[in-house]
Amino acid sequence: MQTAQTPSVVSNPPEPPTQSLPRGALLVENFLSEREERSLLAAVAQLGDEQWQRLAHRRVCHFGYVFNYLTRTFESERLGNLPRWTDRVVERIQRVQSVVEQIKSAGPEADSRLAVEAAVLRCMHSELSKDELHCSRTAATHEPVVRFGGWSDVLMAPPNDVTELAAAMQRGGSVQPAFDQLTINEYECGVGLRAHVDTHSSFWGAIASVSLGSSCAFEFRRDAVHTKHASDPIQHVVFVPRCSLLIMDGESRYAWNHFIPMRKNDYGADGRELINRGTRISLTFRHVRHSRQCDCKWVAFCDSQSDTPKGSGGDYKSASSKMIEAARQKHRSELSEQLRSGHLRLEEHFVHKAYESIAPHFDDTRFAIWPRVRRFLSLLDKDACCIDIGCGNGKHLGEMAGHVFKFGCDACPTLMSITRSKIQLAQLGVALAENLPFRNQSFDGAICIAVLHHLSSASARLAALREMARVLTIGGKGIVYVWAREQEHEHKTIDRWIALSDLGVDGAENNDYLAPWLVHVGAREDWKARALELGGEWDHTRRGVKVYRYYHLFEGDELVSLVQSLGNVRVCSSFYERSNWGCVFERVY
Amino acid sequence: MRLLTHNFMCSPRTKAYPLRLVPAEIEMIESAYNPGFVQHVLPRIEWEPLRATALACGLGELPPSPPQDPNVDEDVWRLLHRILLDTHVKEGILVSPSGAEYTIHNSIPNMLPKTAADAEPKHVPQATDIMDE
Repeated sequence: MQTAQTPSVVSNPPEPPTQSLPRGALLVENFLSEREERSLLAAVAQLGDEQWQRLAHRRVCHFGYVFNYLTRTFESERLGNLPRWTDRVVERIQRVQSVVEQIKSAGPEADSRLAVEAAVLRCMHSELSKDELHCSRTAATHEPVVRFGGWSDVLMAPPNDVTELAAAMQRGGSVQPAFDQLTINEYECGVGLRAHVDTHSSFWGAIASVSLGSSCAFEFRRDAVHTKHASDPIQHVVFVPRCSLLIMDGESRYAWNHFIPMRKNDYGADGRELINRGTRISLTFRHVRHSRQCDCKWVAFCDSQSDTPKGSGGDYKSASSKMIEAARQKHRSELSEQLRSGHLRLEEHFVHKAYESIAPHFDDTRFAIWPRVRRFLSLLDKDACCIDIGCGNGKHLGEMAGHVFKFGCDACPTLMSITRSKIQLAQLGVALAENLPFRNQSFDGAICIAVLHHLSSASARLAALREMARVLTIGGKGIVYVWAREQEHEHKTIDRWIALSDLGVDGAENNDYLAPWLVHVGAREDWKARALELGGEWDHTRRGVKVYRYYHLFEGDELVSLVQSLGNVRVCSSFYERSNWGCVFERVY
Repeated sequence: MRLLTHNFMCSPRTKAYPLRLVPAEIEMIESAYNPGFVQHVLPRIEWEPLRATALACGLGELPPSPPQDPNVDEDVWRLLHRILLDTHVKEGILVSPSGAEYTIHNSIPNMLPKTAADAEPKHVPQATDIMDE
């Protein structure tokens, strides 16, 4: 089983957009004139550094209410009105929404999608002509283009939305309820947004987002289990140009994950030309859900109706973080109890079962190959017989395409089936590293990447290395990689892990940890369900299903000493590389 | 699972050899004739078990001893290539000398040792067992 260190996705190959939208979504291209875009960008540039909040990959600025990314909800304290310089944009969004509402209230007809698109287009022409009166534009006129995803299957808004709407109308008194929360996002070129559904309990009604400065691809995904008919789409990719407006309402807002792929260019609307991204500013307007309680029909996507901690009014933040902390403590003491009583066995539960539960998601994320491993494989003769011990999803077997004979084994049967489906002629077997089912001296080369650290005793780790050397021919070479105690970013790794010694587990060695794997909220629904079913737990803070894996971290010369203690091998090289220890050796007799 | 893989395989814990193959479904997938590779692996092939397995799978009869020169007995070398590389066991069972069974499903043998008590009972080693270590 391999778990190479976080292969971050640097570039996703772009794919042509479907230029379709889920039901309830509306895209208006050239919603703003270039002059309007310039003045909005100038206003954003005026914001002080202290107003921005830095997130992992982007920075954000909130108006109206602060959104807390840790608790995934808004802070109760109101910051005041939205800035005046957004007034005209908001008014125009509301006029567009009114037009859509009018058609909706007339009853959804078969051709209402076209009717909506035509009506919004008329509305946009009149809007932009007003702008033209304000200032005679010299720039070429860009025609608005309107795209509508159709009405939601569930036409009625959630009852709670109706209540919120009534309250908002009372406060504002206009035809369309006023937005009371604005998030300004600044995305540098190449930065994306991970798949998510905006928390139902935090915001009600439509979400409207205006793009400034750069375009991007915008994707909607849902799992097939949430579709009514087999032919219903599970993915929409739309090119969102600068100056455009995207409104997500109904199904598109409540029952689709949306994300922005992490990459530096996207196919334009025609699906032929690649358009480079620059720095993109988005203005996203939302309605804060004061009741913090959603009662929509899309229960599977609704945080109010799942078993995650729910918001209550008042000091929500501290209440929720206390709840999270209490849940964490409870979980740790349960873990500790189960491990001490021998009810949970380390490898059985935190390696074998853990990999079973995350197998498809794991497969989806493992593709990067360490340069040293690649070089090791490339130096093996094409006729060499190779074995990949703990081959996981078979990424290295794929790399050995030119070799006549390669065998991969892993303790996880599901990963073996996945590998089998990808590499038809791969020679695979379900086996344990410390019990290899091969005769002595069968292989010319052996690799064992990110496997030994899952064995919970020094004797098991030595046994696995001994087996690896045993199946090698004299002169055969092996390469081993393991996680290092010397982690480069401890705050992201060890600091977040559970030290077994803290759980009071008998016989726990130093450097033994439980590290969480997260099947994040945007992952396929069946992957999350699988992980939950097979022992994972819902993590409210990190938004996903968390599955702990056991690790023994190797420290200093621990790996190379273990290899040397085999006696029948010569260490060719040993190295530290990005939070891993590695070693190449040759069997000498 | 190729028959070459099978020839290399032994019991995971005791290293007992050979594992008797009881094939239920075999698939032939032709690959480019590669005498160089066959020559490379021939020294590590256990010849008698290979002959027996080839016969059991109805693949023809190999000579009593391994061939020497790919340029001389080309028919034998081609047969060897066919047996070792082109014969894939999709479903079946592997039986260890002590009677422990391992299933092959979807071409993947499951070699996880059963619990020490039930799967590989401690037994008096027989002549057919090769205890490696």
